[in-house]
Amino acid sequence: MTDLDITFRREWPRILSSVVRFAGDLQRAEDAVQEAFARAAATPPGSLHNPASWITTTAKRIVVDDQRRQSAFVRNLGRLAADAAERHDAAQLHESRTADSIDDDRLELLFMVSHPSLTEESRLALALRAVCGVSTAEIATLFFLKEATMAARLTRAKQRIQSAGIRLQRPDAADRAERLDDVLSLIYLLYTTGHTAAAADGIGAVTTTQAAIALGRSVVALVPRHLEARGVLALMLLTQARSAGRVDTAGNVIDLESADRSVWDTALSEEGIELATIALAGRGRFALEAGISGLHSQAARWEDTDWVAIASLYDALARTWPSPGVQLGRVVARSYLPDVGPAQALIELDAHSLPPGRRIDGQLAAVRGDLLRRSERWREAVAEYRHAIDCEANGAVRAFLRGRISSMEQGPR
Amino acid sequence: MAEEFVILIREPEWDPASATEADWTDMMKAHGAFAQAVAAAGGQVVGGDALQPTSQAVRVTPARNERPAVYTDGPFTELKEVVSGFYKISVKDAAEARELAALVPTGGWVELYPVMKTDPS
Repeated sequence: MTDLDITFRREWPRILSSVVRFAGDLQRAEDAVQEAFARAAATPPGSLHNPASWITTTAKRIVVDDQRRQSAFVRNLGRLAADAAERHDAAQLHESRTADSIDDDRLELLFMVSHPSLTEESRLALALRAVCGVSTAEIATLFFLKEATMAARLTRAKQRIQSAGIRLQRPDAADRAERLDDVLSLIYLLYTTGHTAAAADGIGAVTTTQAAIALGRSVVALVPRHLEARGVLALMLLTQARSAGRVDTAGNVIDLESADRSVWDTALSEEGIELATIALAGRGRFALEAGISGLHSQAARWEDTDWVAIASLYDALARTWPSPGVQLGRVVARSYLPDVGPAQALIELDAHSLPPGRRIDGQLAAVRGDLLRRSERWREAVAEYRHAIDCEANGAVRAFLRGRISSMEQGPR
Repeated sequence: MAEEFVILIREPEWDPASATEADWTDMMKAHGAFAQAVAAAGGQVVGGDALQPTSQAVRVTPARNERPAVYTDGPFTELKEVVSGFYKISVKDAAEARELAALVPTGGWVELYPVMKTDPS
């Protein structure tokens, strides 16, 4: 990898956001930055002392040149000038930026991308592209799409922002407040995308999870009194703390019961638990999820898990955020309560009606399989696990489920 | 069978504007710890909020004896203690409620009221 490639990966979000602010158009900015990188690659190696700065300036020049070539020159130049004046930039091409941290820039892009007219999936795709620098091909893989399809979707999403007549400028305090919840969800979505990818095929996974956590820290710094912001950060840190024990050296998934807790990151856990405690004062969705995660992290061993507290937090979560995942998690937690147990939990589970969907069917089958296994109804458990395998796309998870089947076929415990 | 209680938080003074970031964080930590304690006991925090100080409040005396309603803006300086917030919790029994109420952060004290049951069951 050349130095320029490294610059590309690392500085892309900061350069892009700077040019987006200047141009007010995500697509135009992206094209210009791409072109500027190409020109940088054509210069003699080592001739650029500060490639990032050179590329930023060049990209802005390209944007202006582009505008000139179009018939809307006067109008656009007027608009650019007006906005530049508004932002006290005085229409300079050499913008002397103060050292805004890269995370602030990325956070700003997230706010821009959390546009009300975009679906959550589109926002995630744009965020992965613009904020984490994930290539279109990789995003396509994550979404189980062909690259061309993914590229078309990204273009449409950007056009939708453009045609809504919204200028991509620094969101003001009112915009920020309105979009904050969506930004928090998006950050968490970025994290889970990276986290899941790690178990499957590691697609720039580490970069994405680290970016999500860094963005979480930036949001907390931005709105220190917002409890759910701390909730999201807590949830990510607590999940990250346990990531070491999730997968063994062969790439097999290890469940929470069997995980080696000695490899968990205690510093991250402690920070996460402290943040979760503060966030729980607001009893929001992320706070409750973080609380549950924290309770798992606090247990020295699986046997020490405080299921009463976990079930209670799930009850609260189910009242305000009854997603299928939450309903399933709640039933599993309740199955460990002394006065409920797996058999009773199975009855409760079947009384729920979950929305249809392959992924949910698969998770539901896996939970039923687990409850049946713990109730020693072996044949029925195997049938459910088989169904779960059919619904599951992730190779590591399928292997885990197959392992469950063979351990039962080898003879009940 | 779950029992419901309302906890009123009473403090000699309540001025959220003068709280430093450290004060605020400590306060939120303490409230979070209370929420965790309720969960650990298998109960629920059904509701609750911090209230704005009395400078933002209005005392309303309803109309009676042909006199119209009377509105008096706060602050109510004659009050020695103000209500800075409240919780509504659902727990196993009164003993548990008493134990948990002691964990509610306050600069003064809290009052624990059992909620009156009105349904026929």
